[in-house]
Amino acid sequence: MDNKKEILEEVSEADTKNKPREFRGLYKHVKISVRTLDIIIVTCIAVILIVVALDLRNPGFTITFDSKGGTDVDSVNRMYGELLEVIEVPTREGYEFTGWYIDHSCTEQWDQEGDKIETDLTLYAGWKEKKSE
Amino acid sequence: MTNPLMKVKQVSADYKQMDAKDRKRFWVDGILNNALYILMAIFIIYTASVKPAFLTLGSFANLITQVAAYLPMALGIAGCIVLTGTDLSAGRISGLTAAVAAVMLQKSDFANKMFQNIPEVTVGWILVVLLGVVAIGAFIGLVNGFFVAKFSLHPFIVTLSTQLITYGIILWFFGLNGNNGQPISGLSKEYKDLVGGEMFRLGNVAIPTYVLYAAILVVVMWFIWNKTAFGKNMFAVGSNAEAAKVSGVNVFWTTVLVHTLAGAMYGYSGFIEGVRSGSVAAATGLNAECDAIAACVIGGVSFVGGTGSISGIILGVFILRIIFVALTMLGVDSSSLYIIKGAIILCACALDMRKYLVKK
Amino acid sequence: MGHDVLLKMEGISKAFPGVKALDNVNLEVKSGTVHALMGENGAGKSTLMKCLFGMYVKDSGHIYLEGKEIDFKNSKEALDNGVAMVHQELNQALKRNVMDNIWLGRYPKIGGIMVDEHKMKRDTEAIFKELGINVDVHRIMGDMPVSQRQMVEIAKAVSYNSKVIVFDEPTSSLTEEEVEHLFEIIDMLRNKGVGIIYISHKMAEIKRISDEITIMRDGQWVATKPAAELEMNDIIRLMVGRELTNQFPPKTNKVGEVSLRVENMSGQYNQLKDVAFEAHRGEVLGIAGLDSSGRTETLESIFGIRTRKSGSITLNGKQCLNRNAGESIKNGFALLTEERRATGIFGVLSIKENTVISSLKRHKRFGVYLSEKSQREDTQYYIDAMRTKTPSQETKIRTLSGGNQQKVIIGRWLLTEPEVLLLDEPTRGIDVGAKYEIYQLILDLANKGKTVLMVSSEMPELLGVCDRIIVMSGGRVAGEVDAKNTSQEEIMTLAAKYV
Repeated sequence: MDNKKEILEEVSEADTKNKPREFRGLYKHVKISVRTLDIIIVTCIAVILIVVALDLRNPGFTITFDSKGGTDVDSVNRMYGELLEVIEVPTREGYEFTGWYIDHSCTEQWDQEGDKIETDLTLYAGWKEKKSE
Repeated sequence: MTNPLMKVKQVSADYKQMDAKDRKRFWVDGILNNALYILMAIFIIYTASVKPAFLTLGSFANLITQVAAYLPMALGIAGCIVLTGTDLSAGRISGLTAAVAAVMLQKSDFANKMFQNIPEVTVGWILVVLLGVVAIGAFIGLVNGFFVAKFSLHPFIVTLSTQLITYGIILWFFGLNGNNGQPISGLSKEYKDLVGGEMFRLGNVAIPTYVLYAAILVVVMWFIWNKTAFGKNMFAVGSNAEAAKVSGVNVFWTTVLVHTLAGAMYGYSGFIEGVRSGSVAAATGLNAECDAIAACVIGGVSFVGGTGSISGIILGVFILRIIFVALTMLGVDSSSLYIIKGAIILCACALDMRKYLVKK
Repeated sequence: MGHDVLLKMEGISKAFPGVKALDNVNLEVKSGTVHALMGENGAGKSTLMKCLFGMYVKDSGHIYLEGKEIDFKNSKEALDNGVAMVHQELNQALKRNVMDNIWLGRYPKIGGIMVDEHKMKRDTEAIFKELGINVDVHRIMGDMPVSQRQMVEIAKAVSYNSKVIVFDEPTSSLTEEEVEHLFEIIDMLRNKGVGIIYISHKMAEIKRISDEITIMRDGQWVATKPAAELEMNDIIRLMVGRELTNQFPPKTNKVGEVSLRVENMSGQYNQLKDVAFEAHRGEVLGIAGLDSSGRTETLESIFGIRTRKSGSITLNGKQCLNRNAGESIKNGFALLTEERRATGIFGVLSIKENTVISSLKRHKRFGVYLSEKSQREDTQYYIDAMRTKTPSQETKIRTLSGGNQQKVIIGRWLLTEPEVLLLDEPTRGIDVGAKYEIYQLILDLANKGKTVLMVSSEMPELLGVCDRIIVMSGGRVAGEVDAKNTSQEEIMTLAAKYV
């Protein structure tokens, strides 16, 4: 029994045909031929390239704005490494706009001159209550 | 044969002797087996031609910084893969430790501070917190390892459970003291400096201190993998657990220790993650294990078990990062990045199997 | 009956990168004969069969079946054309029953849709009756012993009206009785005019059953002769390519005082019952018995990888608990397991890693660090001492031949400096030349005052190498014989005592 297995193993080290072989480890019980694997590999690469190609027709990152109760601000599209530059300023009844923030709780402000776009982003409006006169 | 030049000569000599059919196979094999490297090359060339900024020193510095951030988790998870397992809880564990570290190291004068009576942040306290979060990570890893080793449960199932449990704990944690799930920010300057402080600049981009720490971790892990009995036992168990048992290897402890070590690495990842992104949210660390697993598989840590090397893992992390840096520069959408990531993992696994099948 | 040529393979060549696996090999199988195909491991027998069944594409040569040239794409096509193969790793649907396995993929249908269970049952039973197989056609495949599954595989081949049936090592896991039955079936097939190719390592079987013998060596055809004209020694000579006057090295070891004493050992999860024996220094103690008589369990219980219910093990007057492998190694035991692939080698690791894994302590410096240099020295020492054929220490062990793998594992155990060596089928799956070297090694170890326990299914091997032989039967020690004054018959009688 061992002999056969071994010869099989030894020879298939140099196997040239698309013969399925049993895998160990996480691939235990997986039986698959080289041809199938080739198809998977080529398909994956194709998917990656297609997704990239599709994306490059409309490249850039979307920056959406959550005005947290103020007037709506349209999202904008920017390329990697660009500055956000001028954005609309929202208004809200009884509040004063304090700027755009990275986090919802408005602790880290977005620096319009220094911070560069590196990914998709949502910015939150910061509001301060107007002193009622 | 070890000389690369000799190897090239050898291959070209072999190639000359082949007939047309073998030559075709040579090329098909070559292209398919190196599919991911070729993909990387395509992205590099394309990105460089479209965005000259990609080939600057600054962009390289950015790459190194990212690699240093992603490497520790890959180093940890690689051990689990060597044991023919995997670890799905890695990302959540680092998310938990990031949150704990962030809370313990908030600015003392920060308004939204979660716990008020935390000691003044000093270097000593930071080290205590570091040890603490590494211990938390290691403990969850230990739990993983214990269930895998003791009850022969598949690591997939065990780590899936711990992933969920850890996420529950994270959500709990974010609800403490009326925090109500808000992200934790306002990290102290000392913490930021110690982890993310500038060592030197490379092409106008600061290289943070954690690059140095990552280098140290690489050396430590290399030593553990190659020069200790534990490392040898790990490879033996991964290669053939039954034979390892007969050979007097303590399979139980080896498995537990590998997972514990991995957990400690995730703990460390969480520790630097807070500084990297400035604040920690409940979603921090989500799916981080996918990147780590993909990097390992690309780097030749095979799911077949018992194979892998530290240099391979570093290479894998580099390749994955290069691809993503290039894609981000091109302006590829982050939702597409997930699809690409998935395809890369599938592709890497298929490549792994293919190499195992047609090994000469 | 005129024995006309049924299958003719002519000038078959097959090369893999760097290896010429088959070089102009010829094989002619006549109808109504059993044609034995022999050769050492790696001689090319399996490659030749794979070329026949289309698992490999041959580089050159022709195959004729009943005068017509054929070139099968896969084993299914071969089966449809009347060429079948029966071997151990049967591709059977273990969750399905016997009938399903025989008719899978070509169920008899009623009206083209519904499976005709009745016809299937009738046909299956008819074949079973013809072959004298007594198996319930509704049994689930996975529940049946290997021998019966093999019978089903033969029945399947017959149901295809196969003209040529290849048996690849069919008896390696059968009992004597089952082998008898198999031979009866083969005889019956032969009388029906089927051409049979029989691949085996077991000389006695070959001599008994075959009409013609083809011997291969290093991928080349060496000889084809009628079986009656070949003596066992001739076969070995042709296979090995040199004169092997003696199968066993001369015994020079001297038996000393008692070293190992095993008393009333019973197994927790197996049938071992009150096993007790003594072994001496410098002695090779054989353990004989049928498969599943508790031979392997005895060794593994002593080594602590099987749970004992009771029993004590004493080595040189010291009680040994041996609760796990690590402890046993510390106590001076070493176990070479039966299933080398499953529990012996670390396939993807290098020879070096495979050699040092059990003796890492030897290389420790400063408590943690493992010295590379001393690992290399140890590995090289045993590569040289065992004459292991390998390109380098870094070679992956699974690329070596069975004999060389075995040498590496023996080296691994010798590095732990054991007092007692437990060897379970040390020569299984090893070719004749390498066997001799392993025997020599065993005797050398005994000469150095070690105690060697050796389990083997091959009776001549036990008689040739051991000093004493204990015979096991049904989990118990059935008796003890002196290897010099015993016979195979005596041992077989004892082996059947508690069955």
